[in-house]
Amino acid sequence: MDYRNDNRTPRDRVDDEFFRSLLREEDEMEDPRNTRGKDRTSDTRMTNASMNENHSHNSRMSGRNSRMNNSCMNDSCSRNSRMNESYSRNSRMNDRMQRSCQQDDCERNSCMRERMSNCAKNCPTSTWGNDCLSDYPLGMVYVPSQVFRNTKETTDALHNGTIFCELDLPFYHAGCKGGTCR
Amino acid sequence: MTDQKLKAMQNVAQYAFAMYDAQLYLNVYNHCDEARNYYFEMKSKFKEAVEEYECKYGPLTAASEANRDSWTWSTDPWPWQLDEGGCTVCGRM
Repeated sequence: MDYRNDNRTPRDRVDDEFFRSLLREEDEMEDPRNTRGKDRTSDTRMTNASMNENHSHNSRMSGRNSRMNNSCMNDSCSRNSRMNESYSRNSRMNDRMQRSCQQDDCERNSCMRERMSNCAKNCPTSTWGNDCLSDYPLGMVYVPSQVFRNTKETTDALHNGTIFCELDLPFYHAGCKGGTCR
Repeated sequence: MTDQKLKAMQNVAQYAFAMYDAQLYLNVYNHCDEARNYYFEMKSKFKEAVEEYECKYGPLTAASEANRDSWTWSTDPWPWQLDEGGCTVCGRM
């Protein structure tokens, strides 16, 4: 899938045909007869492309995770047991997503490292080194401008580290593995 | 450090912080009149707080006007020499 000449936004690209093509590819990859001799490089690049696109669309997420999982299987670094093939297509997608989440952190990181390593070997070298995503459209972010309003009392401001009420946000550190963080 | 001295120091610190945070905002939005007014309001309060502190407890910086008549900057107790009962070295409150 070449996105360079595709002027549609990532959201517009996600249609029924996109999902059908995803499912077709997954079926081909899951069938061991079709898996033999398949070009891994193109699969790795597509997997990284879907990782790069920041969609909140649930079904798209499902597709993304299942693709990640498949890539792990094809890279022979996942030893998770394959699930029964008797699911409908939709429930199978959801189930794969769960399977991906249940993977041990260590195993998942190992998959990621192996995929990135393969990508680095196969991608062209750019100014910034081996850039796996150089062929794909840039991402865009949006940050609202701040307005000078709702200032705090100076004693509270010193205590909270800001004079702006709207910047006094609760920050919680992410959970630590094994609960050993302090 | 006595409660009064601590309170005087807290006043200095809080106005200095408010000035600095407003300064960071003005660095980005330098045409904001409201922020500029806030900055100068905090600046005048900061100046008053510094004067009040230095008048009672000595200079806060070497460049302070409190050093003009006599160079007390180097003879006053340093922050780490102060505790609840005054200076741990010379005993001054």
